[in-house]
Amino acid sequence: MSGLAQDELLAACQDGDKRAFKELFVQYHERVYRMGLRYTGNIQDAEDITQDVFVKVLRNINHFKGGSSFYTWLYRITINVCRDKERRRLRHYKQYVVTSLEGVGAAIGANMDFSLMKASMNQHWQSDTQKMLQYALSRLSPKLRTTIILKHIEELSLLEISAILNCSPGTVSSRLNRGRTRLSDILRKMGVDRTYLQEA
Amino acid sequence: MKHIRIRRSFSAYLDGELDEAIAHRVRQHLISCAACRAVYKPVVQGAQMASQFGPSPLPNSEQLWAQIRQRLDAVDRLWAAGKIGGVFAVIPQWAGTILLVIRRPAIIGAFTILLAVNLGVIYKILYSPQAQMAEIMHHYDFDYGLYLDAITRDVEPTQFDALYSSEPVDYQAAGASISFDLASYALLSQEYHISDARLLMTACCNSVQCSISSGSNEIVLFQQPLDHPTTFGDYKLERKLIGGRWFNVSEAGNYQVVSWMTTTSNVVLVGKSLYDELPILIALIDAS
Repeated sequence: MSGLAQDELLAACQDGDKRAFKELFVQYHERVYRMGLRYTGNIQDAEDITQDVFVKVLRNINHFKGGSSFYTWLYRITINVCRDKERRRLRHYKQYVVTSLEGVGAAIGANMDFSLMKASMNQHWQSDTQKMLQYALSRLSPKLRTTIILKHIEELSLLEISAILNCSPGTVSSRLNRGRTRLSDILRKMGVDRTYLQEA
Repeated sequence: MKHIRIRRSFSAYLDGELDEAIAHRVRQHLISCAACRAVYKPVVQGAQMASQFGPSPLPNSEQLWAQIRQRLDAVDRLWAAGKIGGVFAVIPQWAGTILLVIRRPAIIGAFTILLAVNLGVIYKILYSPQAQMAEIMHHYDFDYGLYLDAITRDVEPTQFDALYSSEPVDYQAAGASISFDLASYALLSQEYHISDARLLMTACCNSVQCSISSGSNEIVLFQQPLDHPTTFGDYKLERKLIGGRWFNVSEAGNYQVVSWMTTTSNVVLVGKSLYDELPILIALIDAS
């Protein structure tokens, strides 16, 4: 089964072959998981997202006509699931009283979303530097965050990103400008400069 | 290239994804433009910071797959039959479609617009100038009259061309901001025909001035808001409540004219002779 070309694999999935779907999962779940993890900064959310994405893929596999590459289609589903997840999480955090980080925010003089910072800081898989980077990433708007992740985590080209986001390469470049500038701005306000990051 | 186009391409330039010719232009521009350099600098810094993202931890694949299978198996009896997609088969197709629509604000927006357009069309049919004219004719018990119709120049020529003798009238010359083609036809008698008409937009109130060739029967058909003074030059204006709507009634020359501004662009006008009580003029100005 692992020797199948992607087209054959997809065709087998569309025919209801369970082993083919398992193979599809094996081939692509790390991308989905990584995207979910960077988008939410949270392992549990990333696992939930991965599950949701593959359930959706399974449900809609017959709708995939091959007009775009499979991973483009998969990324689109992943981004939609990530956004849904974040909306649900933000609703949850609005009811969550965060006090311990208010002093931190006041000290660095930034207008910060403490729920996001707390979510980022609680992740034990990251070093302190990575936590700050992740926090800065989580402060970006969904569009900018998605673009930064696709560029810097998934290392895709402008053309590939534009195909996934269904916009022009110029728009992607523009979003990257804003995302990068904003990242730099947030990290600078947190007292982090790139020299520190590189040393860390 | 202008600054905004240069700046838009900064990231593509930084990532080496521009054609060499364009990249060269960006490079040259950055050398000469301090303002763009100031914008470019944080983009570079942000890119350098973003490049510091470390590797992400790997998921526990077997556990994830087991959880997915568990979710599928819990509700998906069709899976056993080898039919992919059965996990959602418990939800009727129509319910899924409704959920899809509800979750798409754009679809709801489009549906709302479509509904609004349809309501507008229905409203226009029910309250069209023709319908309004029929209503006013009903109130005045008209059964014949002179019919005047003005249509915009941009409108495709209609049956008026076949039915009525028409003459283009340049209302711009009269200081108006709208131009019309005027078509007129006398049902009652050929001696009543419109020889001149002006839509006076620059007067103290909007009014339609028509000259009728028989005698000195110049009549002025007023359109003005209810709170406007009820006189205009030598013409007296009276307001009457007919069928729940206010109409302007004026007497000029040998005619009494009743006018009614249905919208800001449509005017329904009717008139009758003061002497024989016969309706002689009905005008519909459609500037829409």
